[in-house]
Amino acid sequence: MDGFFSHSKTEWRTAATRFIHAWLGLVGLTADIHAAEMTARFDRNTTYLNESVTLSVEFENVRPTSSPIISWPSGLRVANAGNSQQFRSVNGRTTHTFIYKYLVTPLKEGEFTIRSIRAKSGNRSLSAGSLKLKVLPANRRPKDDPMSNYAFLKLVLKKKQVYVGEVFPLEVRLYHATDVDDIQYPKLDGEGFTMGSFIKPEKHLTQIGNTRYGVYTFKRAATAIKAGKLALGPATTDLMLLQQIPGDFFRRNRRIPVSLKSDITNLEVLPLPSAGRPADFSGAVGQFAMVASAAPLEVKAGDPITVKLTLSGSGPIESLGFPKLNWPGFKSYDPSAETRTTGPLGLSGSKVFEQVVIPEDNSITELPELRFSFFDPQRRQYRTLTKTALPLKVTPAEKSDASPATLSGVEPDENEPQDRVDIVNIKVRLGSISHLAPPLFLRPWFWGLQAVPFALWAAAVVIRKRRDALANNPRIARRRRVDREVRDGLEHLKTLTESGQTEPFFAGVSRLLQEQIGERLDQPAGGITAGSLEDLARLGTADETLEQLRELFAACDQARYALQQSPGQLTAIVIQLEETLATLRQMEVPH
Amino acid sequence: MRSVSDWTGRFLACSAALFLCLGTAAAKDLEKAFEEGNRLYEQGRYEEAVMAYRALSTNGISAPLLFNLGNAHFRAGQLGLSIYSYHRALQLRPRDPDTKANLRFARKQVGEESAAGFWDRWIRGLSLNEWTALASAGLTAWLLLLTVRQLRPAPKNTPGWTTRLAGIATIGLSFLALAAWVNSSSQTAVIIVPEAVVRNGPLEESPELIDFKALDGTELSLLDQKDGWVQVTDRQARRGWTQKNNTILLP
Repeated sequence: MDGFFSHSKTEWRTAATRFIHAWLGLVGLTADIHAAEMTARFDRNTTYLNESVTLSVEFENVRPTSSPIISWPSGLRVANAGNSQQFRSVNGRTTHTFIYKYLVTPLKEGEFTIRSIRAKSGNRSLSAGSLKLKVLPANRRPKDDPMSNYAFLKLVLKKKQVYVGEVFPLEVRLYHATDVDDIQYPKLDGEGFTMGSFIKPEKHLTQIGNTRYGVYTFKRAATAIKAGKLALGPATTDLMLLQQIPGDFFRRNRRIPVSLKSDITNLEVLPLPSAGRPADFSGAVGQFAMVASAAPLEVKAGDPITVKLTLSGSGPIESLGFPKLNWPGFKSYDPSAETRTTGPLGLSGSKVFEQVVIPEDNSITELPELRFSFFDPQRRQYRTLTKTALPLKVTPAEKSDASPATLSGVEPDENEPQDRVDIVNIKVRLGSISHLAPPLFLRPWFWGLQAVPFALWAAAVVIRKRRDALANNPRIARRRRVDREVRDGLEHLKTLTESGQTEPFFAGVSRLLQEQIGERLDQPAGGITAGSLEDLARLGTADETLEQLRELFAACDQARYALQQSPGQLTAIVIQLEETLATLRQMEVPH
Repeated sequence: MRSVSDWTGRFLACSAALFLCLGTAAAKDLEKAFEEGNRLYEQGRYEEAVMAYRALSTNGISAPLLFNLGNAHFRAGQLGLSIYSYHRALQLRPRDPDTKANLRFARKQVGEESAAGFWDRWIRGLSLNEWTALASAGLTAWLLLLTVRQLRPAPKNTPGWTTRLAGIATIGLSFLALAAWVNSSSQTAVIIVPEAVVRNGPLEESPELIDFKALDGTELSLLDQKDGWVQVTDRQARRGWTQKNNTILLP
């Protein structure tokens, strides 16, 4: 059956939707009859570096069909802060507003201009005017800026009077009434003080008046290094205060950078008194106790003894030093130390030293007393802790303990004390400086020098061989002997000519003739006569030479019977003899 | 009037005197510079002492200078450079007990016992030049004895002395050869950085050898060099490559 009630559920649903859209359109159309606007504004036109502002873009009585298009200048960080709608009806006039929000954080100082904010609504183009935002430096926030009431800094000293060298604790407290972030460790300086590092801060809550504050407490140790009324601080720090953005659906926070500064605090630093200062005082200020021991107490000379010293108490434990030892007869090395501190600032604890000392001879009978002096700021006086002398038994060292370095290859290492605790100290003399040179065997002059004994030996071998050659050839030896005798004989004859001694002269001439001719003929000299000249002729001797020889032999024969000859005559004979013998020597003879 | 030879003699004498004075003055300057380095050392200014000793070494080196440089490096926490300096000092004075003690102490800090075997230590008991001189002396004595016997053959034949000297000369020559081989064949590289990375190959991309740690002061044997890298091996026969500027090579 057709009719109103014959439609299906789907058809009814479709019709209802169309009716609602038509009604809304009518309302919208009605609203459109009134003025349609697009506006944009910052919640404030001036801000500080890194401090966020909110940009709202509102569409009144117009529905944008796309998100606004905004020409953001560089230097701004932008985040979408959400969309919302508002309906308002006043005196029958209805206003429908669409709101787009942006969280804008400036990253640099200066003036920013957003030149263009546009949107579309259907076929219509909408735009808002340009916007300016001024960004000031963060430190130009005025003192009475209400933001500083949310946080402040305080410098706290528990003591108003300290001594030079005394370590004392101080605190910098950060009070904040809102949430904070990016807290920096405080900066705190003071002329005349040395500062330790801040330790990790403690957190707690406190109430001041009607306001609850969170408190960060930063602690550090400080030491006064000069006397007088000294100023400490101010302490400064930077952080971000977090402020919830009003009306933000996601309850996000606005980040506000803040710099805080504390007041300056004065401290009276007293000088250490000169009266009563012990001679061994080395600057320690605090309250300390000392325990000392040594082992072994029976040693040989040259063996080590370990002295253990524990200093404990409150004060600059780390910087405590082992008391200077002035122990004659002992050799000592640098001590080792181990420090254990207690408390968050390390202002108390203990330091354990181990010092090796070596008695150098067996005349030593005790380990001298140990003294440690310090200034007690609580008692306001110097104190000296003493460990009395300990009896020591030192026996002589064994001889084998000291053996010199040798070239035999025995390492001095074997005699080194096995528990050497440090390196041998530096040498005091430079020695002779030389430049790096190649090894000896790479230098030419070295090989030149090595050649000398070799050359000498080679020469000696040659000489020896010549000698052996002579020894094995009698003819050569005879020749050399005869040459020597002829040379010497002729000299002798010349002297005889001066003295005019005829008989020995001719005897000498005869002997020389016999020797030379005998050597030439390889016949005994005693058997040579004038008749041997025939043998010489057979050897090819020149007739002239033979004739000379006959004359000489005849002269010798005649001399037995002749009268004394004059020196001139004798000289002529010597000359003739010399020439003839020289000719004979040059003659080739069979070997 | 003085002769030319007279003037020449005077000139030479003056030159010799001037040279002597200058030489003496220069030696005094070096001693002063050395004392300054020592003063810095005693004051605990070890790095400045290192620089002072190094500046002085540009004029030449001596065993005490290298020893003190080693000490300064040691105090400054530069174990590798201290070991290197002690080695160089031992090359000049192989038997100095102080240098040996400090080298051993430095090696202990690295965790290394003596790196050399008995024979190697025995060879290094004399320097290369000392072995050379010893061998040369033996050979010279032998040759001179032979020369004398050539010229004056002894009526009693004493071949024993000749043979003994020949033996000494031969032994000396053999040890010289061995010392030269030891010196030249096994060059040592000392690590001078806190921890040197050792890789499989001479490239940054080569995988790192995890179990081959080369700490400051470690002495390694040099096998090869290439492009700013050196190949080294340790006493456990592990091999690897590390950058040359992580090491310093013993001459």
